[in-house]
Amino acid sequence: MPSLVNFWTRIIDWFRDRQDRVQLIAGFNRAAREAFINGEAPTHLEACVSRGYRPYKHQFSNFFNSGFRIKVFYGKQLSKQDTVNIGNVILANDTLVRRLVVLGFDTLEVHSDVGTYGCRWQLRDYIMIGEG
Amino acid sequence: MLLGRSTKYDDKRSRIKQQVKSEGDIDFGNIVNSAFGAEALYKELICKCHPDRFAPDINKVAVANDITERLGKHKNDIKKLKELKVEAINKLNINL
Repeated sequence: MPSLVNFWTRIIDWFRDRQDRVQLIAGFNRAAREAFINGEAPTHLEACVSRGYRPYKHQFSNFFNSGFRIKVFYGKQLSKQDTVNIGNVILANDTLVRRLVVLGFDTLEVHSDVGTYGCRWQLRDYIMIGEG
Repeated sequence: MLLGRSTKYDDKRSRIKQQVKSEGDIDFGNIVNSAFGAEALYKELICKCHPDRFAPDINKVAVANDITERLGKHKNDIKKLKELKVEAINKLNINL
């Protein structure tokens, strides 16, 4: 009987994590939209879930869709420096990185809406669980 | 039934998850603003607050050292950079 309870707990956890992922992405998109409308951000950022990069897998990774992708609506190819800057700002926020990792993301991707190039980071390299 | 087996590994995993989820809200607005404004503000502050600019005054050099150290720590956080800007204006008497 305890094993059935554990199985049921896992299903609930899965749905709870899924809900948290959706809320996190919605929160980011809402903030990005507000910043763009208020003129604080010159371009619009949009977060979405992507397939991720399998070699970056860690113990919390989702089996499918483990990438956190930020799309920059810039209208042309972003320079590497700008792409890296946006990625660094995300990675500098320890709380966000830790939250992303436990919610099953393992890859951060930043790219422009135009062009084929972007940057990706392994989130595992930026977590500091147990150090704070 | 095999799926339902609980292990020590699972317990540790769920404990870490709970700990991270309870860390509080994330300020997404600050993150988005930092993505575009933090670098320029950091560069401006790091130039104006460089300790060598206050060389003869030992007290100001100490304050400038402290501020530049914290600038490096928070270079991607525009909220913290704005607080440091106010502190630099008040303590170092610089025009920004």
